[in-house]
Amino acid sequence: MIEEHELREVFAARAADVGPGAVARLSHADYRPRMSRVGSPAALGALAATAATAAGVAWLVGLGAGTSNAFAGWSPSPTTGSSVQNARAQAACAARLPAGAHDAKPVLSDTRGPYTVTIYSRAATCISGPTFTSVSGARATSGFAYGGPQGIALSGAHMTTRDGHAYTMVQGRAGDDVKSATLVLSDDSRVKATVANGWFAAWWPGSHDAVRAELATPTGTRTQTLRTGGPACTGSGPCTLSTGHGSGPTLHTGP
Amino acid sequence: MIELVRGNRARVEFDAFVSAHTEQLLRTAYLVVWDLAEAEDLVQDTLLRIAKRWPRVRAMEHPTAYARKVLVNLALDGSKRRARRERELDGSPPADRLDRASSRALWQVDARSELIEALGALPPRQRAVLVMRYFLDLPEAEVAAALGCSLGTVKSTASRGLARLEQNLSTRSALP
Repeated sequence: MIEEHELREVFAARAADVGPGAVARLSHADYRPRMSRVGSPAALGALAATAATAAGVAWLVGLGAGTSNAFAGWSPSPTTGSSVQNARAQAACAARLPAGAHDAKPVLSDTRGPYTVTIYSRAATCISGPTFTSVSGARATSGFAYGGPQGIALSGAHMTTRDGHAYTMVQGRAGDDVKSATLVLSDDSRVKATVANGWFAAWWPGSHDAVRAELATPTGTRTQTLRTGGPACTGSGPCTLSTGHGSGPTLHTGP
Repeated sequence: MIELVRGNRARVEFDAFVSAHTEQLLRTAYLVVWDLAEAEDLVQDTLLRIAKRWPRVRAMEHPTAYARKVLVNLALDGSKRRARRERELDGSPPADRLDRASSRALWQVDARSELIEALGALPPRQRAVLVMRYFLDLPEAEVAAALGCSLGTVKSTASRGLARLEQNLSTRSALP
Protein backbone atom coordinates (compact mmCIF):
# COMPACT_ATOMS: atom_id res chain seq x y z
CA MET A 1 0.00 0.00 0.00
CA ILE A 2 1.43 3.35 -1.02
CA GLU A 3 1.30 5.92 1.75
CA GLU A 4 0.48 9.55 1.08
CA HIS A 5 3.72 10.70 2.64
CA GLU A 6 5.64 8.49 0.23
CA LEU A 7 3.97 10.19 -2.70
CA ARG A 8 4.69 13.60 -1.27
CA GLU A 9 8.34 12.72 -0.74
CA VAL A 10 8.76 11.27 -4.19
CA PHE A 11 7.10 14.21 -5.90
CA ALA A 12 9.24 16.62 -3.90
CA ALA A 13 12.39 14.68 -4.81
CA ARG A 14 11.46 14.60 -8.46
CA ALA A 15 10.53 18.30 -8.49
CA ALA A 16 13.98 19.08 -7.17
CA ASP A 17 15.28 18.21 -10.65
CA VAL A 18 14.04 21.61 -11.73
CA GLY A 19 17.08 23.79 -11.45
CA PRO A 20 17.38 27.53 -11.07
CA GLY A 21 18.61 27.85 -14.65
CA ALA A 22 15.32 26.72 -16.14
CA VAL A 23 13.35 28.93 -13.78
CA ALA A 24 15.54 31.91 -14.64
CA ARG A 25 15.16 31.31 -18.38
CA LEU A 26 11.41 31.27 -18.09
CA SER A 27 11.21 34.13 -15.62
CA HIS A 28 13.28 36.43 -17.78
CA ALA A 29 11.52 35.73 -21.04
CA ASP A 30 9.44 38.51 -22.47
CA TYR A 31 5.87 37.33 -22.79
CA ARG A 32 4.48 40.49 -24.32
CA PRO A 33 2.75 39.96 -27.67
CA ARG A 34 4.97 39.72 -30.74
CA MET A 35 8.09 39.23 -28.67
CA SER A 36 10.20 36.17 -29.25
CA ARG A 37 10.04 33.24 -26.95
CA VAL A 38 12.97 31.73 -25.18
CA GLY A 39 14.33 28.69 -26.92
CA SER A 40 13.22 25.60 -25.12
CA PRO A 41 14.71 22.37 -26.38
CA ALA A 42 11.33 20.76 -26.94
CA ALA A 43 9.82 23.64 -28.83
CA LEU A 44 12.79 24.17 -31.00
CA GLY A 45 13.20 20.47 -31.56
CA ALA A 46 9.77 20.31 -33.09
CA LEU A 47 10.45 23.47 -35.03
CA ALA A 48 13.72 22.12 -36.30
CA ALA A 49 12.08 18.92 -37.46
CA THR A 50 9.42 20.86 -39.31
CA ALA A 51 11.92 23.23 -40.83
CA ALA A 52 14.15 20.40 -41.88
CA THR A 53 11.28 18.65 -43.58
CA ALA A 54 10.17 21.76 -45.36
CA ALA A 55 13.58 23.04 -46.40
CA GLY A 56 16.15 20.38 -45.88
CA VAL A 57 18.82 21.84 -48.09
CA ALA A 58 18.72 25.23 -46.45
CA TRP A 59 18.91 23.55 -43.08
CA LEU A 60 21.95 21.59 -44.14
CA VAL A 61 23.75 24.68 -45.28
CA GLY A 62 23.17 26.26 -41.92
CA LEU A 63 24.09 23.36 -39.74
CA GLY A 64 25.78 20.57 -41.58
CA ALA A 65 29.31 19.42 -42.07
CA GLY A 66 30.58 20.84 -38.86
CA THR A 67 30.56 24.39 -40.10
CA SER A 68 27.90 25.62 -37.74
CA ASN A 69 29.07 28.05 -35.13
CA ALA A 70 26.72 26.32 -32.73
CA PHE A 71 28.84 23.19 -32.90
CA ALA A 72 32.21 24.66 -33.72
CA GLY A 73 34.94 22.07 -33.62
CA TRP A 74 32.65 19.11 -34.35
CA SER A 75 34.18 16.57 -36.68
CA PRO A 76 32.60 13.76 -38.72
CA SER A 77 35.17 11.33 -37.32
CA PRO A 78 35.82 10.73 -33.65
CA THR A 79 38.80 12.47 -32.14
CA THR A 80 40.85 11.79 -29.06
CA GLY A 81 39.87 13.89 -26.10
CA SER A 82 42.30 15.12 -23.51
CA SER A 83 42.16 13.58 -20.09
CA VAL A 84 40.92 16.89 -18.73
CA GLN A 85 38.09 17.02 -21.26
CA ASN A 86 37.10 13.45 -20.57
CA ALA A 87 37.15 13.91 -16.82
CA ARG A 88 35.15 17.11 -17.04
CA ALA A 89 32.54 15.46 -19.28
CA GLN A 90 32.20 12.46 -17.03
CA ALA A 91 31.74 14.62 -13.97
CA ALA A 92 29.21 16.88 -15.67
CA CYS A 93 27.23 13.93 -16.96
CA ALA A 94 27.31 11.98 -13.72
CA ALA A 95 25.88 14.96 -11.88
CA ARG A 96 22.91 15.09 -14.20
CA LEU A 97 21.97 11.45 -14.56
CA PRO A 98 18.23 10.94 -14.11
CA ALA A 99 16.71 9.27 -11.11
CA GLY A 100 17.10 5.54 -11.44
CA ALA A 101 20.31 5.80 -13.41
CA HIS A 102 22.69 7.08 -10.78
CA ASP A 103 24.47 3.75 -10.64
CA ALA A 104 24.77 3.42 -14.40
CA LYS A 105 28.29 3.02 -15.72
CA PRO A 106 29.50 4.52 -18.98
CA VAL A 107 29.98 1.94 -21.71
CA LEU A 108 31.22 4.20 -24.48
CA SER A 109 32.56 7.71 -25.00
CA ASP A 110 32.46 9.44 -28.37
CA THR A 111 34.63 12.54 -28.67
CA ARG A 112 34.40 15.00 -31.53
CA GLY A 113 36.49 18.07 -30.94
CA PRO A 114 35.31 19.71 -27.73
CA TYR A 115 32.18 17.52 -27.46
CA THR A 116 31.99 14.27 -25.57
CA VAL A 117 29.05 11.90 -25.77
CA THR A 118 28.81 9.28 -23.06
CA ILE A 119 26.54 6.27 -23.34
CA TYR A 120 25.33 4.74 -20.10
CA SER A 121 24.11 1.42 -21.45
CA ARG A 122 20.34 1.59 -21.64
CA ALA A 123 20.02 4.11 -18.86
CA ALA A 124 21.01 7.44 -20.34
CA THR A 125 22.97 9.30 -22.97
CA CYS A 126 24.90 12.45 -22.20
CA ILE A 127 26.46 15.06 -24.43
CA SER A 128 28.84 17.55 -22.92
CA GLY A 129 30.27 20.52 -24.77
CA PRO A 130 32.24 23.61 -23.89
CA THR A 131 29.17 25.45 -22.60
CA PHE A 132 26.52 22.85 -21.97
CA THR A 133 25.69 19.35 -20.82
CA SER A 134 22.48 17.53 -21.70
CA VAL A 135 21.34 14.15 -20.51
CA SER A 136 18.64 12.08 -22.16
CA GLY A 137 17.13 9.35 -20.08
CA ALA A 138 15.89 6.04 -21.42
CA ARG A 139 13.16 3.94 -19.95
CA ALA A 140 14.09 0.55 -18.62
CA THR A 141 13.24 -2.40 -20.80
CA SER A 142 13.99 -6.04 -20.37
CA GLY A 143 16.27 -6.10 -23.37
CA PHE A 144 16.53 -4.99 -26.93
CA ALA A 145 17.29 -6.25 -30.35
CA TYR A 146 20.44 -7.93 -31.43
CA GLY A 147 21.77 -7.01 -34.84
CA GLY A 148 23.93 -10.10 -35.25
CA PRO A 149 27.71 -10.36 -34.95
CA GLN A 150 28.23 -8.39 -38.16
CA GLY A 151 25.44 -5.91 -37.65
CA ILE A 152 24.38 -3.02 -35.52
CA ALA A 153 21.18 -2.56 -33.59
CA LEU A 154 19.74 0.77 -32.61
CA SER A 155 18.81 1.42 -29.03
CA GLY A 156 18.17 5.13 -29.28
CA ALA A 157 17.93 7.88 -31.85
CA HIS A 158 16.69 11.36 -31.52
CA MET A 159 17.08 14.83 -32.86
CA THR A 160 17.17 17.70 -30.45
CA THR A 161 18.45 21.24 -30.34
CA ARG A 162 20.93 23.38 -28.56
CA ASP A 163 20.40 27.14 -28.68
CA GLY A 164 18.07 26.62 -31.59
CA HIS A 165 20.50 24.49 -33.60
CA ALA A 166 19.54 20.93 -34.32
CA TYR A 167 21.69 17.90 -33.82
CA THR A 168 20.95 14.23 -34.25
CA MET A 169 22.30 11.39 -32.20
CA VAL A 170 22.13 7.63 -32.61
CA GLN A 171 23.46 4.85 -30.47
CA GLY A 172 23.09 1.14 -30.02
CA ARG A 173 24.79 -2.21 -29.94
CA ALA A 174 27.44 -3.34 -32.37
CA GLY A 175 28.12 -6.97 -33.11
CA ASP A 176 31.42 -8.47 -32.08
CA ASP A 177 32.71 -8.51 -35.65
CA VAL A 178 31.97 -4.85 -36.34
CA LYS A 179 35.32 -3.07 -36.25
CA SER A 180 34.11 0.29 -37.47
CA ALA A 181 30.87 1.86 -38.63
CA THR A 182 30.33 4.78 -40.95
CA LEU A 183 26.83 6.20 -41.15
CA VAL A 184 25.64 7.67 -44.42
CA LEU A 185 23.13 10.45 -43.91
CA SER A 186 20.23 11.43 -46.09
CA ASP A 187 22.31 14.25 -47.58
CA ASP A 188 25.02 11.73 -48.54
CA SER A 189 27.42 13.05 -45.96
CA ARG A 190 29.23 10.52 -43.80
CA VAL A 191 29.75 10.33 -40.09
CA LYS A 192 32.05 7.77 -38.58
CA ALA A 193 30.71 6.27 -35.40
CA THR A 194 32.67 5.36 -32.34
CA VAL A 195 32.56 1.58 -31.84
CA ALA A 196 33.70 0.10 -28.55
CA ASN A 197 32.69 -2.49 -26.01
CA GLY A 198 29.91 -3.81 -28.21
CA TRP A 199 28.34 -0.36 -28.59
CA PHE A 200 28.32 2.35 -31.21
CA ALA A 201 27.42 6.02 -31.09
CA ALA A 202 27.52 9.01 -33.39
CA TRP A 203 25.99 12.43 -33.65
CA TRP A 204 26.02 15.24 -36.12
CA PRO A 205 24.78 18.80 -36.44
CA GLY A 206 21.49 19.06 -38.26
CA SER A 207 18.47 16.86 -38.55
CA HIS A 208 19.35 14.51 -41.37
CA ASP A 209 18.60 10.87 -40.80
CA ALA A 210 21.11 8.08 -41.12
CA VAL A 211 20.04 6.03 -44.15
CA ARG A 212 22.65 3.29 -44.16
CA ALA A 213 25.70 2.07 -42.33
CA GLU A 214 28.94 0.81 -43.82
CA LEU A 215 30.35 -1.73 -41.42
CA ALA A 216 33.92 -2.97 -41.50
CA THR A 217 34.06 -6.63 -40.52
CA PRO A 218 36.73 -9.33 -40.81
CA THR A 219 35.06 -10.57 -43.98
CA GLY A 220 34.92 -7.17 -45.64
CA THR A 221 32.74 -4.11 -45.70
CA ARG A 222 29.06 -4.75 -45.22
CA THR A 223 26.33 -2.24 -45.95
CA GLN A 224 23.33 -2.19 -43.70
CA THR A 225 20.29 -0.29 -44.86
CA LEU A 226 18.75 2.05 -42.39
CA ARG A 227 15.21 2.97 -43.26
CA THR A 228 13.68 5.93 -41.49
CA GLY A 229 10.23 5.55 -40.06
CA GLY A 230 10.36 1.77 -40.07
CA PRO A 231 10.20 -0.58 -37.16
CA ALA A 232 13.08 -0.82 -34.75
CA CYS A 233 15.59 -3.61 -35.17
CA THR A 234 14.05 -6.78 -33.94
CA GLY A 235 16.10 -9.68 -35.18
CA SER A 236 19.33 -11.02 -36.45
CA GLY A 237 18.60 -10.35 -40.12
CA PRO A 238 19.35 -7.12 -41.95
CA CYS A 239 18.65 -4.43 -39.45
CA THR A 240 16.29 -1.59 -40.07
CA LEU A 241 17.11 1.37 -37.94
CA SER A 242 14.20 3.56 -37.19
CA THR A 243 15.50 7.00 -36.60
CA GLY A 244 13.09 9.73 -35.79
CA HIS A 245 12.70 13.38 -35.18
CA GLY A 246 11.75 14.56 -31.78
CA SER A 247 13.09 16.45 -28.90
CA GLY A 248 13.93 13.30 -27.00
CA PRO A 249 13.37 13.05 -23.33
CA THR A 250 15.92 15.59 -22.23
CA LEU A 251 15.82 15.52 -18.50
CA HIS A 252 18.47 17.97 -17.48
CA THR A 253 20.15 20.75 -19.30
CA GLY A 254 22.59 23.03 -17.65
CA PRO A 255 25.46 25.32 -18.30
CA MET B 1 -1.02 59.28 -19.95
CA ILE B 2 -3.47 57.48 -17.71
CA GLU B 3 -3.49 54.53 -20.10
CA LEU B 4 0.30 54.49 -20.07
CA VAL B 5 0.38 54.42 -16.29
CA ARG B 6 -2.20 51.65 -16.26
CA GLY B 7 -0.18 49.74 -18.83
CA ASN B 8 2.99 50.09 -16.84
CA ARG B 9 1.26 49.01 -13.68
CA ALA B 10 -0.21 45.96 -15.40
CA ARG B 11 3.18 45.06 -16.74
CA VAL B 12 4.78 45.35 -13.35
CA GLU B 13 2.06 43.19 -11.88
CA PHE B 14 2.47 40.59 -14.61
CA ASP B 15 6.23 40.53 -14.10
CA ALA B 16 5.66 40.05 -10.40
CA PHE B 17 3.26 37.21 -11.14
CA VAL B 18 5.81 35.53 -13.38
CA SER B 19 8.53 35.99 -10.82
CA ALA B 20 6.43 34.57 -8.02
CA HIS B 21 4.88 31.59 -9.77
CA THR B 22 7.18 30.37 -12.52
CA GLU B 23 9.08 27.94 -10.34
CA GLN B 24 5.96 26.27 -8.98
CA LEU B 25 4.38 26.15 -12.43
CA LEU B 26 7.51 24.57 -13.84
CA ARG B 27 7.72 21.98 -11.09
CA THR B 28 4.06 21.15 -11.55
CA ALA B 29 4.43 20.88 -15.31
CA TYR B 30 7.49 18.70 -14.93
CA LEU B 31 5.67 16.29 -12.64
CA VAL B 32 2.67 16.10 -14.92
CA VAL B 33 4.50 15.58 -18.22
CA TRP B 34 7.59 13.95 -16.68
CA ASP B 35 9.95 15.74 -19.04
CA LEU B 36 11.76 18.96 -18.25
CA ALA B 37 12.09 20.31 -21.78
CA GLU B 38 8.42 19.69 -22.39
CA ALA B 39 7.60 21.28 -19.06
CA GLU B 40 9.50 24.43 -19.99
CA ASP B 41 7.57 24.55 -23.21
CA LEU B 42 4.30 24.24 -21.37
CA VAL B 43 5.12 26.98 -18.90
CA GLN B 44 6.02 29.29 -21.76
CA ASP B 45 2.72 28.58 -23.46
CA THR B 46 0.87 29.11 -20.22
CA LEU B 47 2.54 32.43 -19.47
CA LEU B 48 2.06 33.61 -23.04
CA ARG B 49 -1.65 32.92 -22.78
CA ILE B 50 -1.87 34.64 -19.45
CA ALA B 51 0.05 37.63 -20.77
CA LYS B 52 -2.47 38.03 -23.58
CA ARG B 53 -5.35 37.93 -21.10
CA TRP B 54 -3.62 39.63 -18.22
CA PRO B 55 -6.15 42.45 -17.74
CA ARG B 56 -8.83 39.81 -17.17
CA VAL B 57 -6.61 37.39 -15.28
CA ARG B 58 -5.36 40.02 -12.83
CA ALA B 59 -8.96 40.84 -11.96
CA MET B 60 -9.67 37.24 -11.04
CA GLU B 61 -9.95 36.20 -7.43
CA HIS B 62 -7.34 33.47 -7.92
CA PRO B 63 -5.01 34.15 -10.88
CA THR B 64 -2.77 31.34 -9.72
CA ALA B 65 -5.57 28.82 -9.96
CA TYR B 66 -6.30 30.02 -13.46
CA ALA B 67 -2.66 29.65 -14.45
CA ARG B 68 -2.63 26.13 -13.04
CA LYS B 69 -5.76 25.28 -14.97
CA VAL B 70 -4.28 26.53 -18.24
CA LEU B 71 -1.05 24.65 -17.58
CA VAL B 72 -2.62 21.32 -16.70
CA ASN B 73 -5.03 21.39 -19.59
CA LEU B 74 -2.28 22.28 -22.05
CA ALA B 75 -0.26 19.40 -20.64
CA LEU B 76 -3.07 16.90 -21.01
CA ASP B 77 -4.04 18.14 -24.47
CA GLY B 78 -0.45 17.81 -25.60
CA SER B 79 0.26 14.40 -24.13
CA LYS B 80 -0.45 12.51 -27.36
CA ARG B 81 1.58 14.93 -29.43
CA ARG B 82 4.39 14.65 -26.96
CA ALA B 83 4.34 10.90 -27.11
CA ARG B 84 4.84 11.04 -30.84
CA ARG B 85 7.80 13.34 -30.48
CA GLU B 86 9.60 11.15 -28.05
CA ARG B 87 11.68 8.82 -30.14
CA GLU B 88 13.86 6.90 -27.84
CA LEU B 89 12.81 3.84 -29.83
CA ASP B 90 13.04 1.40 -27.01
CA GLY B 91 9.60 0.03 -27.66
CA SER B 92 10.34 -3.26 -26.00
CA PRO B 93 11.24 -5.42 -28.96
CA PRO B 94 11.67 -9.11 -28.26
CA ALA B 95 14.19 -9.58 -25.51
CA ASP B 96 17.44 -11.17 -26.47
CA ARG B 97 20.41 -12.67 -24.85
CA LEU B 98 22.63 -9.62 -24.97
CA ASP B 99 21.40 -7.19 -22.44
CA ARG B 100 18.72 -8.77 -20.38
CA ALA B 101 20.77 -9.24 -17.27
CA SER B 102 22.63 -5.97 -17.44
CA SER B 103 19.58 -3.81 -18.03
CA ARG B 104 17.78 -5.48 -15.19
CA ALA B 105 20.72 -4.90 -12.93
CA LEU B 106 20.85 -1.25 -13.84
CA TRP B 107 17.36 -0.73 -12.58
CA GLN B 108 17.65 -2.60 -9.34
CA VAL B 109 17.44 0.58 -7.41
CA ASP B 110 15.90 1.69 -4.21
CA ALA B 111 12.21 1.80 -3.49
CA ARG B 112 11.95 5.52 -4.10
CA SER B 113 13.34 5.12 -7.58
CA GLU B 114 10.90 2.30 -8.19
CA LEU B 115 8.05 4.56 -7.19
CA ILE B 116 9.37 7.36 -9.39
CA GLU B 117 9.49 4.97 -12.32
CA ALA B 118 5.99 3.73 -11.58
CA LEU B 119 4.70 7.31 -11.43
CA GLY B 120 6.34 8.04 -14.74
CA ALA B 121 4.43 5.16 -16.29
CA LEU B 122 1.04 6.49 -15.23
CA PRO B 123 -1.28 8.07 -17.79
CA PRO B 124 -0.80 11.86 -17.64
CA ARG B 125 -4.32 12.54 -16.40
CA GLN B 126 -3.98 10.20 -13.45
CA ARG B 127 -0.56 11.61 -12.67
CA ALA B 128 -1.92 15.17 -12.91
CA VAL B 129 -4.54 14.40 -10.29
CA LEU B 130 -1.97 12.86 -7.96
CA VAL B 131 0.39 15.78 -8.49
CA MET B 132 -2.27 18.29 -7.61
CA ARG B 133 -3.42 16.30 -4.59
CA TYR B 134 -0.05 15.28 -3.14
CA PHE B 135 2.46 17.77 -4.49
CA LEU B 136 0.38 20.93 -4.54
CA ASP B 137 -1.80 19.76 -1.65
CA LEU B 138 -4.92 21.03 -3.34
CA PRO B 139 -8.32 19.98 -2.07
CA GLU B 140 -10.28 17.78 -4.44
CA ALA B 141 -12.62 20.63 -5.30
CA GLU B 142 -9.72 22.71 -6.64
CA VAL B 143 -8.40 19.77 -8.59
CA ALA B 144 -11.84 19.37 -10.12
CA ALA B 145 -11.89 23.06 -11.01
CA ALA B 146 -8.48 22.84 -12.64
CA LEU B 147 -9.49 19.87 -14.74
CA GLY B 148 -12.99 21.08 -15.43
CA CYS B 149 -14.54 17.88 -14.13
CA SER B 150 -16.67 16.73 -11.22
CA LEU B 151 -15.51 15.92 -7.73
CA GLY B 152 -16.46 12.31 -8.32
CA THR B 153 -14.26 12.14 -11.39
CA VAL B 154 -11.31 13.48 -9.41
CA LYS B 155 -11.85 10.85 -6.72
CA SER B 156 -12.20 7.99 -9.18
CA THR B 157 -9.19 9.17 -11.23
CA ALA B 158 -7.06 9.39 -8.10
CA SER B 159 -8.23 5.99 -7.00
CA ARG B 160 -7.44 4.43 -10.36
CA GLY B 161 -4.08 6.14 -10.38
CA LEU B 162 -3.12 4.77 -6.99
CA ALA B 163 -4.33 1.30 -7.97
CA ARG B 164 -2.26 1.42 -11.12
CA LEU B 165 0.76 2.58 -9.17
CA GLU B 166 0.40 -0.42 -6.88
CA GLN B 167 0.05 -2.65 -9.89
CA ASN B 168 3.13 -1.17 -11.57
CA LEU B 169 5.16 -1.64 -8.42
CA SER B 170 3.96 -5.21 -7.99
CA THR B 171 4.88 -6.02 -11.57
CA ARG B 172 8.34 -4.59 -11.07
CA SER B 173 8.98 -6.43 -7.87
CA ALA B 174 7.78 -9.67 -9.47
CA LEU B 175 10.50 -9.52 -12.14
CA PRO B 176 13.03 -12.28 -11.55
